[in-house]
Amino acid sequence: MAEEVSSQMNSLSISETNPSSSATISLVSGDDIVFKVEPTIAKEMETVQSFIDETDGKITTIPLPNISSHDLPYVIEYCEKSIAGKITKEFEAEFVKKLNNEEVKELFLAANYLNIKKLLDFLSQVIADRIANKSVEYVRRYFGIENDFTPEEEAKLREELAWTFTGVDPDDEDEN
Amino acid sequence: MADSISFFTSLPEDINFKIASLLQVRDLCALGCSSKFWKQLCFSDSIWYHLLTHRWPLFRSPLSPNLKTWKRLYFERHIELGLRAVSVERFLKACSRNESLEVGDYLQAFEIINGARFGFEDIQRFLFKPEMNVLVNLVGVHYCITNLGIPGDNLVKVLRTCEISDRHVCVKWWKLGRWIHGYRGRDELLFRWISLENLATEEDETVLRVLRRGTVLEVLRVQISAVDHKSIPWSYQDNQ
Repeated sequence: MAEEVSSQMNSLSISETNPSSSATISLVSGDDIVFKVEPTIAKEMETVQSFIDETDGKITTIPLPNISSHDLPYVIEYCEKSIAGKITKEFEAEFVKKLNNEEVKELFLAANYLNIKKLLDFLSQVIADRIANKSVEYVRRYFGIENDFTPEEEAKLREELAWTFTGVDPDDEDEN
Repeated sequence: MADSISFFTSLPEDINFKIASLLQVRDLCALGCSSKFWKQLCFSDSIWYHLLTHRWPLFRSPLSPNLKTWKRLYFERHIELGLRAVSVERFLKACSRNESLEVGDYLQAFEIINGARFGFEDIQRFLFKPEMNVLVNLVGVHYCITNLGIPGDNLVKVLRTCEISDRHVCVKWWKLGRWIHGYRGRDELLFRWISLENLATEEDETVLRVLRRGTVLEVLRVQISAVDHKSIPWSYQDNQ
C-alpha cells in the first residue's frame, strides 16, 4: 500500500514508503550530518526502531541529537557487522583498537541512548578491561570522577581495602 | 558529547551496575574508592554475594548472613586464606634441610591447604608466585590436580601465566629391595627431575602417586627438593 503522506512538521522527515520496499533510513547526527543506512540496521537500535514503529514506518529520517558524526559511523559499523552475524573476537579486537578512552565512553553513551544491547555489553567489557589493575587515581581520571570523600573518609576506606591494592600498574599510559 | 564530570552518574543504575559486575575484585575496590557515588554502587552487597559464591562455590557462611554483610565475609575469607598461605610457606621453610623436604612434612603442608578449602583462584593468587620457593608452588599444583580436578591443559596455561611452568622439583624415593632366592636385594633409589608443567600433564602420575602416598608399603622414604639431585651428594645410608 504505497501512500503519500504530507507532513506538517518537516518535509525532510517524510518520504514515500512502501513497507515492502527497502528504502533507506537517514540518521542525523547531533552536528547535522546525515548517514543513510539500510532499514534492517534499525533492528539493532531499539530506540530507532521504536521511533519508526510509532510512526508506522512513515518517518525515515531520525534525528539523534546526542550522537556526534564522529561516533555514529562506529555505531553503524558495529551494527552492520552484528546484522551480518560477523561479530568475531578478531573484529572486536580490531574495533576496540581504533578507539581511545574518550571515544569508548562516548560510544558507550551512544549505545545506551540507542539501546543497542550487544554494543553495550561489549563496551562494558572494554571499559572493565581498560581500568583493570589500575590505581584509584587512574580510575578517577578515566571516568572523570570527582573525589567527594574527606581525606579521613578516604584514608579509612583505603585502609580497609589495602589488601586488594598490592601490585597495581603504575599510572603511565594515560591517553586522554 | 560526554561531559566527563557527570559521566556515568547520569546513566541508569543498571548500566553502571553492569560495568561494576564485570570487574575483578581489585578493580571494583579501586572504583569504589573513587567517590561516594561509586562506593555505594561497588559495595552493594548483591555484587559481593555474587563474587563470594563465584570464587568459593562451596562456601557456607558459619553465621547467619544477616549478622555480616557478604562483602565482610568475602574480605575475611580472603584474608584468612592469605594467612594460611603464609603459614604454609613458613612451615615448608622451617621443615626444609639443605633445600630438601621429607614427604611427611610436605603432606602436612598439603593438609593445611586442603583443610582451608582453597579454590583455584586462591591457589593462583597465594601459592603460584614465582618469587616463592618452588616447593610452595608444588603443593599448589598437586592440590589443583588431586583435589580440585583442574584439567592438565588448563593448569598449564595458568602456570605459564604465573611464570612458574618451567620451575623444576626433584622427587626421590627409596624402594625396598626385592627378595630374590631368600636374599633381599639392595634398596632402590628412584628419582624424577620434573618441571611443574610436566607434572601437571604427567600421564601415569608416577610422581604424584609417590607424593600422595608418602612412605607406605614398599616405599621407604620420599624426599622432595628444589635442587637438581646431582648437585647434592647425599645418600640414604649416611643419614641413618
